[in-house]
Amino acid sequence: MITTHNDKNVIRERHMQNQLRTRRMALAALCLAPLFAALPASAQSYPQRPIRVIVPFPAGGSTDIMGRILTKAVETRLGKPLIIENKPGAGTMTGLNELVGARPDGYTIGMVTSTMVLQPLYGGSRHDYPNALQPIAQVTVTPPVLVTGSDTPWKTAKDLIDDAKAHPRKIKYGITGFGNSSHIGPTQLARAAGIEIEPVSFDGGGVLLTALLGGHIAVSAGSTVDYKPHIEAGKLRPLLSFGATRSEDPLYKDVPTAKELGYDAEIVSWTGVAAPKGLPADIAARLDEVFAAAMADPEVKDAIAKLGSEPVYLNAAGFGARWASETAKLRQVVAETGILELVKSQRR
Amino acid sequence: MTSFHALLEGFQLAVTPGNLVAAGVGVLLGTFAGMLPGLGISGTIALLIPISFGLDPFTALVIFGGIYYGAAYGGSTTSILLNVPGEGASVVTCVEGYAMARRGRAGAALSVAALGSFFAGMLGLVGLVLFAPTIAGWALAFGPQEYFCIAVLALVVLSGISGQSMVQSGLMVVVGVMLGTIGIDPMTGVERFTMSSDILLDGVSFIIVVMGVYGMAEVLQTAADGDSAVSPPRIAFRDLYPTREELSRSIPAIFRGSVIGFLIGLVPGPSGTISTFLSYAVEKRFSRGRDQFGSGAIEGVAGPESANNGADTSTLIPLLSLGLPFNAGAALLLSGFLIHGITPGPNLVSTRPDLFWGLVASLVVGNVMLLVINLPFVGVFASLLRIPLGILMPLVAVIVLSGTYFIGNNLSDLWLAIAFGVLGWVLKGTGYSVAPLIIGLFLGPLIEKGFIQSMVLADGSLVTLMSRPFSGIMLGAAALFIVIRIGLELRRRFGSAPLEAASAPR
Repeated sequence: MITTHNDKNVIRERHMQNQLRTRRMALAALCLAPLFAALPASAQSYPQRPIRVIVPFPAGGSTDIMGRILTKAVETRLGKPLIIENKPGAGTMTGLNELVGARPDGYTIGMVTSTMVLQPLYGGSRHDYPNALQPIAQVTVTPPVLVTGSDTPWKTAKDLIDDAKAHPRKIKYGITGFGNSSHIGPTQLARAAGIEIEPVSFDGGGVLLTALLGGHIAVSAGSTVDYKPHIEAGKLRPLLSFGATRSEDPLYKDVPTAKELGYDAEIVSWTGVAAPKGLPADIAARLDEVFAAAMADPEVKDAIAKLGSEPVYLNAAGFGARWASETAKLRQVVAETGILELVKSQRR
Repeated sequence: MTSFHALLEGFQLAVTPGNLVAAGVGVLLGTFAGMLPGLGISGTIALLIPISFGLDPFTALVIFGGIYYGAAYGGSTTSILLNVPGEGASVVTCVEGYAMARRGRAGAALSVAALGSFFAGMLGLVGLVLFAPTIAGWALAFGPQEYFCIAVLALVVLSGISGQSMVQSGLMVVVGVMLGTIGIDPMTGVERFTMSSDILLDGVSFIIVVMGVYGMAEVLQTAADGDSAVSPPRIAFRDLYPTREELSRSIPAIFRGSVIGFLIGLVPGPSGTISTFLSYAVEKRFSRGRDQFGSGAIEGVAGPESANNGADTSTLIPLLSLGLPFNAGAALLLSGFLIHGITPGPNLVSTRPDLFWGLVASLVVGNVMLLVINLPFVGVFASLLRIPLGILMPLVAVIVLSGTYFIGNNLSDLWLAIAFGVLGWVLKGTGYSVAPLIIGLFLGPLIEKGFIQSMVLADGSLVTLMSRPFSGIMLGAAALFIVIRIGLELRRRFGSAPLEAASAPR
């Protein structure tokens, strides 16, 4: 059952690859297909068949929807369909592993998020993603913002820190996973400010937000996107941002960064597009070009903004530089804060 | 009565030809999405989001709303006819619904499921219109402590669901809870029992296990029975629809299920599934047909199917009035809204009353459409069972396996579904019911997570679980239930044999 399924897939794929119509030619092509595949593809003829886009999240998540918006804009420019394949699981690693393992011919690309830099640092991943993948484009950047319910006594980050100093381990903060940005940001802050606060793990941003609004958890560091309507409605109060600079959004422009307050705490989450390493140079250039055009498309920008994220485009080179600099910086951060030790000791 | 006027205006918006078509398209797509296991509402809405850009925002909203509603209707069909639950909320429908289908009452089960869904949906919408702002706040009172306690209560009430011996049920529940511990530890992030494999890192997927132990196991069972396997009796078209007696038994069950669903839908989390479990447990103990449970009691279909739709509707209350999606379906609906520049939340009713009331009106329209579409099709679907088993069962296997693949596009999930199919078949053959295993697997992780979060928040103090009103009541109810069970058991054992009781040491 499963073998036939695979065989069929292979046949169909080769079929499309060569645009054949008659059976006899298809038969000939079956024998010749490996030869064609081995020939270097050229940018003039790229793409000749549909492109597979691996999304390491289930259909309907924000990364998935972003991917769908983007691929729709890219396929009109490339003239061939881009087909999203959701490969969720293992904290994006199932999808990333599949992307790394794909042939670097431009016919398999994928959506990636900032966890691809963190996972290799913790030693739990099969590949060193920043070195096994090749950047194509950065799509969004979101700095987590530390918020509290509007009925807590803390009006500013300083109030919170003073209270935490007076009552060690009393303040609990919500996280959406150990070792991710929601955990790293507050841990850096706690270390820099010399306070003790305790993480409570929740299943996802939505569940955490509900607990935050219900007053069951005091603070959490999460996406500006998720918090926006609730800050506007006066139910949540932003205390500080973990971004490098203040946000330009009117709602967040008065929120100080941790750096401004004198605490060395900085982390951002981003989303982008990548391919397995080793794309032919002309295909890489073509992808760089079409994604740049798609990201400049007002309809795409508007749709991403409506989802609540800030479209921040970086080209392949810029995105790759971010992978390298963040790997270096975060390696130090997770080691210094003890998060690395925590995660590693648990894996043993 | 300004909101009444607003609702009337909403109806004017919802019944324009374009929006009627949109509602029709939405509910049809939703029905198919619900029917095909694995595809579900998430995949459908996600596919449509980019396509919907060119549409008027309200029209897009109507389509998304229709899909959301339609999927809740469609879920029961494969459960009743083929014993394949496509989602958590239609698992219990398999138990009585498939048993009914084997007796030749598939049509009655399908009709009652549609009627129950309709009634629960309507009741939910009335609740939404009348109480949305008031009860939305209650939903937030549910913290990890309450969540833990409601899951404990559900486990205690449901562990005896199968009607077999307490020891057998208990054993299956424990196995289910154990399977639920596979994956990442919610407290520390440690990998547990994953054997260093990526496949098990996210745990054993509830829905894959369910498709295995129900759908796949049924296929294996039929194959093992060989020629002795019996097709359901052929029946006249007239008998496809419920009899007067079946209807009169269903009405109270539908009512109870709707209320349970409406209340549970206000709780954050997978409320659809929990509400169907609870409704089933209630029907099993209190309904008129409680003696027939296990062999196809219509209340066991009517109640849970109503509860499912009731929960899906009341989940819209926190979504529309707080902007909080309490389950995966609502989360997708939220993305669909956002992409069209509409932010559900406290300000939606005041800033965009046209959209809010129009959506409510279109959901009413969609609900009526679903009933009108579904009832005539009952005959068509029920006649699927006339297909000879030798053809039908391989088809079921295909549906189970393709549905399993749809969920994560993962081949290893297929092996898991087949393995659980074999397990389900073996358990069935040895007289163990799989229902308690499913319940353990579903509730175990919820209990664990709720307990850990509660303990971290309260610095390890168990007292907070009892001192909070909601959670205290639920824990008390669970304790009471256990005491009553033990009391009843003692009375049964010693009451019926007084001599033995007198000679017993205590």
